[in-house]
Amino acid sequence: MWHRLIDWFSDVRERYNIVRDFNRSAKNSFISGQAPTLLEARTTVGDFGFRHAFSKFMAGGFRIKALSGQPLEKKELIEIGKVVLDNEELVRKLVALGWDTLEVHDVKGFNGCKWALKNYAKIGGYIQ
Amino acid sequence: MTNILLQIVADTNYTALKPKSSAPMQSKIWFWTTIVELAIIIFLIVKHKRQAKINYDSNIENALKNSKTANVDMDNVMDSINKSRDLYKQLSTKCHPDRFLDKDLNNKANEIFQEITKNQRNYKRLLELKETAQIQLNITI
Repeated sequence: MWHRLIDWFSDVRERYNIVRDFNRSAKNSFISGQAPTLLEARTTVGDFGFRHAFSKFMAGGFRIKALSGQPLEKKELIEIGKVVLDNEELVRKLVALGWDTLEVHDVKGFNGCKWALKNYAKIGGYIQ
Repeated sequence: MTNILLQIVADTNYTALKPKSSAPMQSKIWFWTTIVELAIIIFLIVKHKRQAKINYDSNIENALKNSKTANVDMDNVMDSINKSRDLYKQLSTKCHPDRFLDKDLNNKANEIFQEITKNQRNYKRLLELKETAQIQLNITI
């Protein structure tokens, strides 16, 4: 019972840390002029079709949204998604911490791309 | 006076004996509340049992447990988003095996080129490969 509670709290902390680290790095690279667009990560509901056994209820979406600066083309949105998906360690961590959907959104409108993380987590088996 | 008192008593008796019309309605609400609670409990039990049925391989479980606490270099992720594309283009043209006629160099270039293609969205690894290519293939990038 206690270890479950401790696990739950540590998961919450890790989820918070990963979003915070991403936002901090994105902010630093935007300020230093390396990135033309400021990106921000946040947790969303996600896609119910992409759910797996470790999905968090109503918090399975990891959304990367362009906040300001140069608007992104569809090609660039896909490129950002692919960079995240190619990082095996990051995808595994996202899956283990309860995220199931990766969403990349542009500055304006609701246009964006989304991927099922379970298809990219190469953990030696299939996640249901 | 006595008449008035009797009348009051009669009135109170009347009200006391009057049947309550809201009683069946209340029992109906409680009945449906119990049904809904029961349905929620059954749903949670079924969900819990379904999750318990999934038996993962111990390797998968270990991989997931370890990955929860793994340190991910977010600066590298951001650099990969912003810079890896240009560096990949540069490296893939400079280190293409067709540029090297010597057999040894061609083999080395082939290995490096394969690594570059494999890590085309990993900026940190591409920088390492750039240094390796400069040393092993004697080229300036």
